[in-house]
Amino acid sequence: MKRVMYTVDDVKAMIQSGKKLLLAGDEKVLSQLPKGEWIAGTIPYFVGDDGGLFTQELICVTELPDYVEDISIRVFDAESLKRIYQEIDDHCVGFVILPASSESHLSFSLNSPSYEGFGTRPLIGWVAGVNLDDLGKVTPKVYNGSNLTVHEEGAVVLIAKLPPQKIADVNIINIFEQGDGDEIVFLDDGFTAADVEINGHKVNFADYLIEKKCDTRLPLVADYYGVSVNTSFQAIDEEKREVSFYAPVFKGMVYKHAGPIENYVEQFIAQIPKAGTDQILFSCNCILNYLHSELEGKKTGDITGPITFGEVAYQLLNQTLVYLTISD
Amino acid sequence: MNCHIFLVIDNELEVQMNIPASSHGIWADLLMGKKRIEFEFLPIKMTIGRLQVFSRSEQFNLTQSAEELRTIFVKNQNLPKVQNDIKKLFG
Repeated sequence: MKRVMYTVDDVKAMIQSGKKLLLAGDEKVLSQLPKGEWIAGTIPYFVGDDGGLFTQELICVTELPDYVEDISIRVFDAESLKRIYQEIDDHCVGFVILPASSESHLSFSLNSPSYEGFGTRPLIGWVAGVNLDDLGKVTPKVYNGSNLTVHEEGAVVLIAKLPPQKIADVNIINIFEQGDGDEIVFLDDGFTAADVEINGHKVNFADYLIEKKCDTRLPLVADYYGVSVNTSFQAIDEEKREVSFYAPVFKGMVYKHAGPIENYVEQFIAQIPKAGTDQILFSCNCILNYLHSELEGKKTGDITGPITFGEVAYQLLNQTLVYLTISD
Repeated sequence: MNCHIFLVIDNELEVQMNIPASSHGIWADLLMGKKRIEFEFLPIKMTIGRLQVFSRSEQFNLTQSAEELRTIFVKNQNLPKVQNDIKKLFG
């Protein structure tokens, strides 16, 4: 297993030696890094070399292999993000980092499935966050190392050119599946919902969740033609009778509350592909999985990476591990 | 179903598949849920899932949606998973 957690001095040396890097770390360590071929996002939670870890001192490093022929780094705003798939050329893979709750994050979450060229090029990434104790006090940030700019609103994207014989494949591990409960259909796209249709009847969703004593640590799950796509609960506002989510819900899609999970780590490891994990170049997992499954100190197989406020495998996902393999 | 497979030598070996036009009925069958295939490639599944929901709205345009789905096959046809998916689709 390749080492992923490094000190600031280690990372400075890698940058100065010309390495192409994807980085994740706390703001106070990322802000010390020199100019170079790297992008980064803020987060102090990781699955590191020895398992789940909170650190504001170490940086999580994904070093792009020497066969990466070229990279380009760009910052997109909420409007220009819609061209992201068109900006990724043949034989290239895109890595995107979006600051949580930024305009670019919200826009990408809602609109990326409809971007022109969706799915025509590999795109993977994550949503930068902060120490949970600093929520509301510190803003998540992304970094363009090529000109040492820091962004609270824009999305930073690194596009890596691969040799033609290399195959980049973005995939996910989601241990959640639709439970056997009610069918939930939202009346509008968005991050909040009041009235919804439950089994065809209009009801207030906040009232429903409270009355049914639903465990909101478990996400809503939609079935996208055999792919389970989660939407995580953020809060129930009893006064406003409104429910908020960490990702948008989409009008007309049938959601169900996820079935219970007995042991996250065991079920997660059972879903790790039996072959090809040595070909994983990058992966990240969700902060809610880290928290609810108490991953600190626990290993999730050989899969490492930042713990994030949202994951990108072509589109925004929640409570899901996303990973990129490169093979011949 | 017609699916012509031929090889192109252009420094490296690539498999090029002739994927039927968006007017071919198979795309409509997939999008309208008349045919179900266990595809492997993630964006194909995500897109069909989304477009099947969209197909129930007034704004749905079958030709446009079929082209959107077909483009994912075309642009990724060098990937083994997509080659498997094309075989599942066209035999």
